[in-house]
Amino acid sequence: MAETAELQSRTLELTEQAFTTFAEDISTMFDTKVVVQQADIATGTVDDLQKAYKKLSSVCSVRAEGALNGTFHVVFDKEGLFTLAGTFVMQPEQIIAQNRKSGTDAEAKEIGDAMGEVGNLLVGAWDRVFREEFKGHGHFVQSGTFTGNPWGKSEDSIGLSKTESLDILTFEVTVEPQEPFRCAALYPASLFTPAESEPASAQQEAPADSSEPSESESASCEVQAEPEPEVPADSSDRPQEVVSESEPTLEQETQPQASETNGDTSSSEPGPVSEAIARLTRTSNPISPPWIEGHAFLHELCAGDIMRTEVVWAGPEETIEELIAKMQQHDTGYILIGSQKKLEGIISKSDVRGALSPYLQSIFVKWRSPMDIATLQIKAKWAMNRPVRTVRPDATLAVIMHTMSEHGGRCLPVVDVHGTVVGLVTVFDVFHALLAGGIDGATAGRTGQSPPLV
Amino acid sequence: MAKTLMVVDDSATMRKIITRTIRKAGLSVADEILEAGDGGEALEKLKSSPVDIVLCDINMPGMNGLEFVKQARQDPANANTKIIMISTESAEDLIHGVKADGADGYVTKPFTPETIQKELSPFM
Repeated sequence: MAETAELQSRTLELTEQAFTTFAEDISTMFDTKVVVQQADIATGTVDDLQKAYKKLSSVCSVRAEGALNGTFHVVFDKEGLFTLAGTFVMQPEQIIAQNRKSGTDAEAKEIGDAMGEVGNLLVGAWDRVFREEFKGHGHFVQSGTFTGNPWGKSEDSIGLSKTESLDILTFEVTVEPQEPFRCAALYPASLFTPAESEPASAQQEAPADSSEPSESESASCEVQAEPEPEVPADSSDRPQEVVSESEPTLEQETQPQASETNGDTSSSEPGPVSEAIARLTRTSNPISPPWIEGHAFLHELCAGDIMRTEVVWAGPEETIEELIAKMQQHDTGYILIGSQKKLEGIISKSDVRGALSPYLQSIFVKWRSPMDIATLQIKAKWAMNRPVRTVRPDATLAVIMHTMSEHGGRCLPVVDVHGTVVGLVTVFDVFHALLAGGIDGATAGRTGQSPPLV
Repeated sequence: MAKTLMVVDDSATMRKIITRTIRKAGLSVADEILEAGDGGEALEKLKSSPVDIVLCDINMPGMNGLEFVKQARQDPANANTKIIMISTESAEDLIHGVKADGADGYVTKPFTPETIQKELSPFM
């Protein structure tokens, strides 16, 4: 529903502003420098948060009234917990630094009261931002602060069910002179369900859109979030071999220079979510290596121009054996996992190789055991990379190249503002575009052809 | 003459922050700043130890700041006590409502020594 998307988009947009305002408030009150650095947008569940935020963290719960209706949360990692609470109770810097390293649950509980005040200040800052910038905003009220391990029984501790899909907006905050810490806003999909009075007219206008959750459906916690752009809170947990082939992140990358080329991009209907992502990624590394100068096409060609639209899909329950068959049948190195063009993960050839026992190779047939053969039955959902880094159709070639080189991926699914996959860009598509655009070996200052390896 | 103050907030941390900020504001206040954890406790303490200025949080369990102002104003003994509300809430209608109920001032968090100084100066 457009209204839901609009609410979600605007919320994502304002989150950075809210965190920045919160940081300014801390600076004001405690006469210290606080810097907020935008990080990632992801969708995930409590399990994903558990991996990223470990056992000791603090969660501030906020009840939203008005256009946003429900409860959302802001989580601080252990370092953030001790940094903020320590700042609020005016602990010496050395004590804060020590607690960040070795602070225990008991020590965290001791300053739990301070985290309550952190939450109070946070909610105040957010309320100010949303009141000024968010149409239909009612009120934010701090509904609780949890300090400890919120993930084990998350439903009891912070009111989040294990299966609830969340938009996770991660930020890095530095309270000088301490090292940065991580925090994130957690928005359940139900938060963006329009209030009761609004949808009646919307439903009349768009009766055919039956795929969206109805009001009655949205009352439950089972409302399914759209697969919005996402990024892993921490990809360092992933096995190395998986990372090497296709980055296991689902991230929206949009053109950092979007604001500079407004005239060009506005016609491509970037959509509200796209704007939100653009804002959040605005300070990403500038894409200006010297060789880009003079190649305007790098900023003109977009993912939509160079992507391949024929994409091979498989369900998460399909086996590796079936995926191999599909790869051979369609002569592709990548298979998207999901259904109805909603991306859940991605599997590359090397992921498949990594999942299979090496003893399946013919030269090892002599030593092959049933256990080796059983690896063919591994399900796609266990081997796939997720979340997956993605780009919008209006992401420029420069952005695509930057994303690939920065994150090591060789393939980027292209998704529209609704999170629907519309195509795929691989490094080979990029090479073709570069050659067509005039960058060849000579231009890049290299020899045109390396001698063949024998 | 130094003014007597009471800070009312359910959070010990915030009471500490407010007290420290008042000290940094360089105002002429008594050495001892009284503290209370909610509106009810504040009313009780005011009976035995009247103060010149109360700085009171709005959102508190038990008796909140709004109720405290109403009840404090019903007691003639508090007629000369200035009540300054402190909150993260910054909605205009709330601020006007609290002042209409009898609050003499309103400080929005985050506050600085300068903010506190500016708000309390007229009553010093």
